[in-house]
Amino acid sequence: MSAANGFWSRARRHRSFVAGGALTSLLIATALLSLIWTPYGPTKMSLRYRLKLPSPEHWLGTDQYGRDILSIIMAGAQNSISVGVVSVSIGLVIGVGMGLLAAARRGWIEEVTMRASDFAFAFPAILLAIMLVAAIGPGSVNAIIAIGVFNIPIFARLTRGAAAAVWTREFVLAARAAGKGLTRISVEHVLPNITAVIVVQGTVQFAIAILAEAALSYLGLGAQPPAPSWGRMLSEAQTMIYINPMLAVYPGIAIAISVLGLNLLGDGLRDLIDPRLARQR
Amino acid sequence: MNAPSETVVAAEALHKRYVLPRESLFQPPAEVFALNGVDLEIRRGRSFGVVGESGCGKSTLARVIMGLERPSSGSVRILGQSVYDLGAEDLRGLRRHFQMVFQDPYGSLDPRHKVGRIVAEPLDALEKIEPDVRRDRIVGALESVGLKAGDTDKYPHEFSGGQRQRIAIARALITRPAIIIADEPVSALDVSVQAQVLNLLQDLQAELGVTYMLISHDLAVVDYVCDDVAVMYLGQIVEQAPVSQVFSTPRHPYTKALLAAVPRPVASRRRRRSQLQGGVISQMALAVGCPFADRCPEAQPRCQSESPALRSIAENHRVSCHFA
Amino acid sequence: MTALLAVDNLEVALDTAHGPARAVRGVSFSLERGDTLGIVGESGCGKSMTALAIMGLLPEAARARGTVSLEGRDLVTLDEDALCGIRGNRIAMIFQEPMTSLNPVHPIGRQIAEPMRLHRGMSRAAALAETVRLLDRVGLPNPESRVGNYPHQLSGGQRQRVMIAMALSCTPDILIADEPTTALDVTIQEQILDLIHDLVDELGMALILISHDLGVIAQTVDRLLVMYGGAIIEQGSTQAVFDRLAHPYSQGLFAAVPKLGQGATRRLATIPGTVPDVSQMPPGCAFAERCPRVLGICREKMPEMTVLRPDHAAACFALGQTGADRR
Repeated sequence: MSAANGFWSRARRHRSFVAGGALTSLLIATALLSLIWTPYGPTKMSLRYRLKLPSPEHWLGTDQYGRDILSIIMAGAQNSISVGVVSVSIGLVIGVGMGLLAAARRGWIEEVTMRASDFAFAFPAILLAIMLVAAIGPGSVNAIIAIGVFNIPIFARLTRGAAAAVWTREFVLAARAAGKGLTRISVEHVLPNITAVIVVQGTVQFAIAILAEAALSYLGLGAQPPAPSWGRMLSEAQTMIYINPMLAVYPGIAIAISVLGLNLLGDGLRDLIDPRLARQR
Repeated sequence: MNAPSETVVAAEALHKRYVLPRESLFQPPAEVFALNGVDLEIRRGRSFGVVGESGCGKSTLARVIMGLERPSSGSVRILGQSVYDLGAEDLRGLRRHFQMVFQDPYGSLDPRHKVGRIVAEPLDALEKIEPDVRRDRIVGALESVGLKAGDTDKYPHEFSGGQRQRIAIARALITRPAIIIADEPVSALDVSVQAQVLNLLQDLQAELGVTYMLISHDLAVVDYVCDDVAVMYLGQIVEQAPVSQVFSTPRHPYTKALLAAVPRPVASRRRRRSQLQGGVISQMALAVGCPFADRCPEAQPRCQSESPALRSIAENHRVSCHFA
Repeated sequence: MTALLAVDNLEVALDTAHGPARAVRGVSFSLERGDTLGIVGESGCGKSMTALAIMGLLPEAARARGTVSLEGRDLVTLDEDALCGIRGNRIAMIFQEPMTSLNPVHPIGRQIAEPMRLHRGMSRAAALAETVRLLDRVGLPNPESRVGNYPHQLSGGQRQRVMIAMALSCTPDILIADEPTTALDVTIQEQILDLIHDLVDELGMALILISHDLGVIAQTVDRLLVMYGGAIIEQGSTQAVFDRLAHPYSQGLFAAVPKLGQGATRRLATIPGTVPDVSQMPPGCAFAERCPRVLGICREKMPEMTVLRPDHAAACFALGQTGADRR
């Protein structure tokens, strides 16, 4: 399809997309690699090699328990990605479903779903996640659920707005005139035409999810020890700040790079998608 | 002529009011009176045109007849069945007999679907059919509008405006409907492309026996394609007759003014003083008396107070004017 | 005496994904005060681009070459500041869609007064008085109360009258109207065309009217140009051209328009094929692929303008054959 070919050739030239894509790929590659290999076991402690500075054996040095920092960073990527993917998926599937329903049915269904979203929006995202985890208990799974829940209203809102715009278009009227029901129209006509917007938001939410997970872990509410997590690395590095401040910098950089990469990717996608939509006419 | 043919569309006393969103807490919301008592009958084999300017209600009429918007009162019968009294399943089945073509060739086709899928949509909505049969029907529809079987797998953006409109017509034809309601089908097209599509519409009428209800602001288009025409003004039909009669001997003052206003492609620099001043007044208030009274060059006091009925003045010729 | 407006061999090149495209090719015409000139053609023929080139309003990706001189002064090479002094002041333009060419968040009074305050340095009070006078002249009822209205409070026909008032506020020498009535109902169109005409006569302006509608052109202008594929293919006085259309495209265009009163007695003649893509123009005549009278030479060379009668010329190699009677 000629429109898709045009997309990739333009994408290659778009700086944000390329930079974001590179960083995100780095993140994913690191996580995948860590599934099969890390320099050392990320949980392997060694009292002899505590607080070592970077050396050929330990590229980033070791922490106060003798664990190789590079290994923990790599394994932490796994954690961040899995939390990001699953929580955003939960929010996306449920939120998009709600949004499509609201846009198709209008009336009180729309009111109820949107006001419920507004209610959830009233809470700052991290705070909501914390409240939920406080209610259901700490741990990776619960962190995923909490972050997933705060993603729902975001996708619901976005979908309802985009879907409502598609419902006004004439080909939807043509489908109604042909006799198609609301559900079929939502799935066959509305959804394909809003996918682009949802994907862009998905990358942004992924970045937010990584940050949220780091925040929860920092507070001790996310991945519990000994599971590696960037957020917890930060909190553990706090006590060592006068001895080796770099212990906090490494996980901070990892988080920053991941979030930056995803945001750049999202920006790039948004720019590339908008003119493409316009050109489809 | 022949025996009276079957009535395909029968609309009776159609009224449609839209309530606008409230502008103030203290006043009731304003209303738009889009249709104010429309009756019409379309018989098989006699294509019916509806002409009028902005605000006359012709597009609303098309949507109400297509079952897309429920009228505030009145009924619509397609092949004898009342559209707004049927259950969802029955209505869907009835839709096989009436289909619609829209104005915008760029907006009425889903850009994410392939042409084959777009054209088959009315079939898919109705029932499951064998893939082979479905494919044959799609190709048949495309070929009858002058496109090719190979176009089935292309996307709308690969086609020009005129070709897209043909795709829309193919979509409307695929269930072999008794009537196709076409809302400004050629307005968005260039002159030379418009001619191709108009000839296509004529050919389909002759070869497949499909009847049209054609909505247009362009009188010449209606003259070319249709047998009967109704002229609308502010939600009512003011004149209705066979095309040749309306355009050669119009009886309603609005029809006369409308015809006089159409610029003919004949070089003449004499300035016609336009007969009508001002524009259509808003449809926000139901007129007492004739809706055309305040712009009519032939108005009399009676016109302001008494609303004229649509009455027959000759065979098949109805006019709504006290003095026609 | 120098002509009011002399366009000589105007070329507009557009940058497209497929390379440079010649959107306007060798257009030449001249205009004096009081002249009314129509430019007819379908979409993509270059008529709007020609108008934009005259105004210096071409899009970023377009470049103009050739001469456009306003009383001897070339506009193509002028810088933006100088052009701003001319736009709205000596040459004014009105567009097809009054809703998008009027700013929706400014009251119409302010929009009409803007060119006056800009070019003539009028005070707010003086501009207001003149605005009211203009609104009255263009036929807007109750002008004093309307100056504060926003565009969305007016109908399409009223907005177009406002656009006309804006265009005339500095009594320009030339008015360019690009499809001014295409978006309007036919009875309103009649009123607007009457209005434009009266104003052009009254103020002694020159008018360039662009339209795809043969009827509008036939009844509004004295001379016309027919454009296809960026070039003028037929030109002359409206009377002469409509009397005996010479170019196959003009004939085809005329035959393709359904005419009121004809019914279905005669099948509409269609021009096969479609307008070629502007970036992929064939060498030779742009109409060759679709022409019923095409000759070998048509595909190789661009035809020159051949004079048929004192006020009628066409660019075609196949003119020897009898032009079709317009009936």
